[in-house]
Order: sequence, then structure tokens, then C-alpha cells
Amino acid sequence: MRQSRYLLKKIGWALLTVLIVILLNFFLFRILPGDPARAGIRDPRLTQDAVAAIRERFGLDKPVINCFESLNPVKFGSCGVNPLDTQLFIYVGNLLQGELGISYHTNRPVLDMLKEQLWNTVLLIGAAQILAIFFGMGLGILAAWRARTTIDYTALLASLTFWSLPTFWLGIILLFWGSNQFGLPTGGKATPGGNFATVWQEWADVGRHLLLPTLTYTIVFLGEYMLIMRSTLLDVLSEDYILTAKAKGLRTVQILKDHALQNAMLPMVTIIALNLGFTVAGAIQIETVFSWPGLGGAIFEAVGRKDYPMLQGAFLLIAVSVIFANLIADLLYSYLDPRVQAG
Amino acid sequence: MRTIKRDAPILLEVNNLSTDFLVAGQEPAHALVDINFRLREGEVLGIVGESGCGKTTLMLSLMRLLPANGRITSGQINFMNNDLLDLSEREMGDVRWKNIAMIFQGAMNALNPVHTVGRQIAEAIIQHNYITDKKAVTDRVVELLELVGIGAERKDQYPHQYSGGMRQRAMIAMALACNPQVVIADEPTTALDVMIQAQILELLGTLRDKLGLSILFVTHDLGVVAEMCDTVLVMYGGVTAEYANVDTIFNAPQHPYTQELLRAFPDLTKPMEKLISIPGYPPRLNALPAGCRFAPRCPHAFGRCHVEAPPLHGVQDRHFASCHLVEPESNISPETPEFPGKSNEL
Ligand SMILES: Nc1ncnc2c1ncn2[C@@H]1O[C@H](COP(=O)(O)OP(=O)(O)OP(=O)(O)O)[C@@H](O)[C@H]1O
Ligand SMILES: [Mg+2]
Repeated sequence: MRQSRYLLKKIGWALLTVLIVILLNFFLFRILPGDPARAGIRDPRLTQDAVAAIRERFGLDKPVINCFESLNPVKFGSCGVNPLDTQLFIYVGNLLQGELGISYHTNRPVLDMLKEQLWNTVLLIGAAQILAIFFGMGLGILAAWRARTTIDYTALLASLTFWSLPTFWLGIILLFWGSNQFGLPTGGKATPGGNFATVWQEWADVGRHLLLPTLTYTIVFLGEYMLIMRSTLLDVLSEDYILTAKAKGLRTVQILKDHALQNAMLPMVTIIALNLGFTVAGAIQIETVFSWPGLGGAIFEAVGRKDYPMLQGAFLLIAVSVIFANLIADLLYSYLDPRVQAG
Repeated sequence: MRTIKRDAPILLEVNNLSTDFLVAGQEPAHALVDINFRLREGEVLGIVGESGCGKTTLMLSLMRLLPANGRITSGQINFMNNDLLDLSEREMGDVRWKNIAMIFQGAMNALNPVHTVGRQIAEAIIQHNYITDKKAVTDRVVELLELVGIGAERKDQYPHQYSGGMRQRAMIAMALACNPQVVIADEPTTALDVMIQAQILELLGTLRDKLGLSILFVTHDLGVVAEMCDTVLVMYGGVTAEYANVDTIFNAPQHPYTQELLRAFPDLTKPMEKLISIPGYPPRLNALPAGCRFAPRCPHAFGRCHVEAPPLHGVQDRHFASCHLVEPESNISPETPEFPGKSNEL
């Protein structure tokens, strides 16, 4: 009962946030200076008619919202536009049908482009995050358990080093090393013009391309996870209830498993959720270094080209991912710590 | 007052137990020095003394649960024909809770917030194979909770849904889970308000009578000692000041520290008497006085007290005090194997 109320409340808030983000996102690209049509297609030879045609194609000839043309307050109330024929209404209506508009640059539906890039990004960062979480937490647990021993100090030093390495620098070093020593591909997602007999071989090729960027990303995040796991676990291990568990005759492994880890997971869940949410934004540095065709690189390019529909779609996707990741974190909290629902 | 089972078999015998705390860049701090006591079946031994005198350290030493920088440097803890200090960590794990259970000072956080109370009690039962059948474990949990006055329906609640007093009662239920021979209660009521304190003490008293528990009862409160305990160990700065049965402690205290403690304790039969507190502070472990640790605060201290630490004298049968002023009936040093045992009995 209380559980489902908590759940509903959290989902309600998430939906409300998404709604606000949609509106903000919509207006953000309408307040940005310059006419998107002109900015996007910078060509002085364009005739007035051609510009009008382009504006019409992208729906920019319609008023932004009813009686709020161009967001100019002076004009407020001066127009008698059909509210169903405004940019906002059309935008929201399209969104509901899964339409994110057409890219100024490629003339392809933004949704299709985002899907492709998102998948690439999730492939790269998903793999790296799973590895980083697994090894980072493992190392953190080991270090906390063996606190103030050589194992602890070694792990601590390694993690601090990893954590402070500049991402692009590490990426370049690994790229040199990997391609020199092991002949790994230097960039891209697949061997260009590759001809593969089976799906498996094609996947193996993608795997080889994934190796170095994944390794870079794993190392970068491993340090952070290890440090947080170690310090929260050390805090938990000094709690009174751990002494109770010892007094009950539980063995060390049982104490870690049944009494320490779940309690130490709360801060981890927060960090992981935040990282996963922003993951969708793509690891711009890594995707650039390894020419990985992911979302991060795409956003970077879209900014340069003032491809507003693409950016608008990408921003929405990122915002929704962050909100979604936070929702998942909230729900995990209530599962991990029964006190969360009470509060 | 109930009769002391004078000749009940000895359950737990602590001989010359000493514990140090290692502090980086300092001499080891001698937190316990040559502690001796015996706990008989069904006996409640009160451990009293000001804050910081080593009561918790003594209890944790018995359980071998000292913090990482604590070291037991000498002594024996004889329990059921074993010296607990000789056991492997694994064997000691089996003794914990099954034979010696502990109720902690910080009651509020002694239960894990993320597990239900019932699960935490069941965990102790299952750990020691006290009961293996699943259904029977649940029955036992319910029985234990009811024993301490908590309704069965609350077993699936989390500690934060319990009041402070209920948590402490749940801890007591948990301590009794495997029917231990000895229960250590380290200031079980400190964090609770007066009404709840009274309830918990009454509960412990009932359980003591009903189950015939042997209890090591750590407290500041001499009133509680008078009510609960058969024997009393008065500690001061990590050493034994006085060790005797409860009547002797209240009626014929020999050590000046015990006398001062009693003077500082309000006697309700004489309401007009002024409340006295002992001037000064207990010694810090890294700045111990030479000689008797109590000498700087002792109203009767004389020259020898400041240079020579007094040994534990036998005053009478089963009455010991470490003070130069005490006229020993016979010179029994703690080293005597018989201390404080048979040959000395009336
Ligand atoms: N981990 C530690 N490292 C160093 N010194 C310690 C440590 N734990 C306790 N001590 C010291 O040992 C002495 C005894 O502490 P202990 O907690 O046993 O006192 P106590 O009698 O239980 O006090 P209280 O009545 O306040 O609970 C104190 O002087 C304390 O400062
Ligand atoms: Mg204490």
C-alpha cells in the first residue's frame, strides 16, 4: 500500500518533469538567436521564395504558440490564430506520435538518426559501465575489507590515478598502444568495406572496435566507483549494527554480504544512476578520439551545423534518460532502504 | 532481595585480564589491568564506574570484539573448560551469541535498519543451528518477541518502525535467541527515558528469575545495582577498585572510590542530605598517575599512594579492594591461583 503510493508519487513527479523539459526544450530552440532556416542553410544565394519554402517544410512559418508569435510580448493577443495550427501544438502532437522532426543537415528523420547513434552509444558505454561497476565495486569491497593494508593502499592509489587521468589523453595512449601492440582498429565501429561471411564475424569485428574505447571508459569510471564503494563501506563497517553482527557470531563474508553491502549501496546507486543518465549524452571525448559513431559525436557535430531539430531531439533524449535513471534510482532506494518510504 | 546462589558452579572465570589500546605515535594505553572476577550460574554481576573506566572495553575483551587497535595482552577467560583466548576465530564465532550474548550500549543503532527485526533475530538462531526447521525458527522468533512484550505481528517491521524502548526489547529478545548461558548488558538503558528504563530493567529482572540467566550488567546507576545485582565489580581507570557482593558494597565499602560513589548517589531515605559529586576527573589513559590511579582524587591519599600502586587485597571472604588503607585479612594477591576462590570462602 505504502509501497505503491510511493511508486505512483515518484512516477508522477518524473512525468511532470518530462513535461516541463519538453516545454523548456521547445522554447529554448525558439528563443535562440537567428532564424533556424537561415542559420541552418547558410547560403546567400537562396531566394526569398526558397527560404519561405524551407520554412514551410520545417513548419517554421507557423506561429510559435497562439497569440504569442515569435515570443514577442508586444504582439501578445494581437493575432487570431487557430491554436491547433501553432508550432507548439504541432511539436507536442508529433512527439506523441514519436515524431522528432527532420534534420536540417541530413534531411532524415531525427528519430532514425538518434536511434542509430543511441544504440552505438549504449553499446559502448553500457559495456564499459557494467565492467566499471563490477570491478570498481569489487575493488572497493576488497580495499574496505582489507582496510589499511598493502592491498588497500595499492587499490587506493590505482583508483586515484585512474580517476584523475584526463579521458582523452588516456584514450590516445591506449589507442597508440592497442593498435601498435595488438593491431586493434584505430577508430570507427566496423571495418570499412568489411565483408563478413556470418553475423558472428560481423559482431566480432564490432567487438574488436569496441575494445579500446570500452577499456578507456572502464578505467575512467572504475576509479570513481572504487573510491565511493570503499569509503561508504568503511563507514558502514564502523556502524553499531556491524558490531552486533560480529557478536552474533557471523563470519566476515556473511557480515559483508548480509549487513554491509546493501547499506553501502545507496550512494553507489545514486552515482551509477547519474552516470547512466548522462551516459546517453555520450562520452564526447572518447567518441571523438575513437571516431565512434555515437550520440556524443553527433551532438558535437550538430552544434557546429546548427542542426536545431537534431539537437532538440538529442536534448530531449538526454533529459528523459536522466529523469528515467533517477526514477530507477528512487525506486531502488525504497527497495534497499525501508526508511526511504517512511520519509 | 533474592538469595545469592553462593555455591552455584562457576561459569565464567576471568583471571588477570589486561587490555591495551595501540595509538599511533604513543605508548600503548593500558585500558584494563589485571581484572579478575568470577561469574556463577544465575548470578548477576554489576560492573560500575565512571565513564571511561573501561567497562565496555572489558565486555568487548570477553567477546574478543575489541576495535582493531585493541589488544588483550595477558590473562585468561575461562568459560566451560576453555580459555576463550586460546580459541580460533572460527571457534570463538561459535561461542558468540550461542553461549555469550551481548546487549549493546548504543541501542538505537544496534539493529540493522535495512532488515526486519524478525529476520535479524532469526539470523542468530539459524547461524548457530539452534533450530533448523524454518517454521520452527519463525515460531521461536514469535516466542522471543512475546517474551519481551512485542506482538508477533511486529516481527516483519523494520527497526525504524519501533520506538527506542521496543528496539532495546528486541535486542534483548535477540540476545536470548539461542538460550545463552551468559548475557552481557552494557548500559542497556542509557539512551532511554526514565519510564522505559524502568520497563527494561523490570523485564531483565523477570528474565533473570524466569530463565536463571547469568548476567554481566554494566551500569552507572547504583540504584540499578542494588536492585539487579548479586555481586559488584567497581572499576576505576581500568583497574579493579573493589569487588564484593552487593550488600558489602553498599554497607561496608572499603575502597575510598566506592565510598565516594555511594556518597554521590542520592539516598532517598534521607532527602535533606546534600548531593556530593566526586571532585576531579578520572585519569586519562595516556596520562596515568604514578602509584594508585585514584590517588589524585582520593580524600584519604597519603605519600605511599602516589608512588606505589596498591595490589588487590582480600578484605574478607569474597571481598577485595585495591587500596593501601585496606587492612588485608590475609595477603591474597591476584596471582594466587585460588583467588578469589574456594580456600577463601567462609
Ligand atoms: N579504540 C580505542 N582506542 C584508544 N582508546 C580507546 C579506544 N576505545 C576506548 N578507549 C579508551 O579506553 C578507555 C575505556 O573506554 P570504555 O569505552 O571501555 O569506557 P566505559 O567505562 O565503557 O565508559 P562509558 O561509561 O562512557 O561507556 C577510555 O579512556 C577510552 O578513551
Ligand atoms: Mg561503555
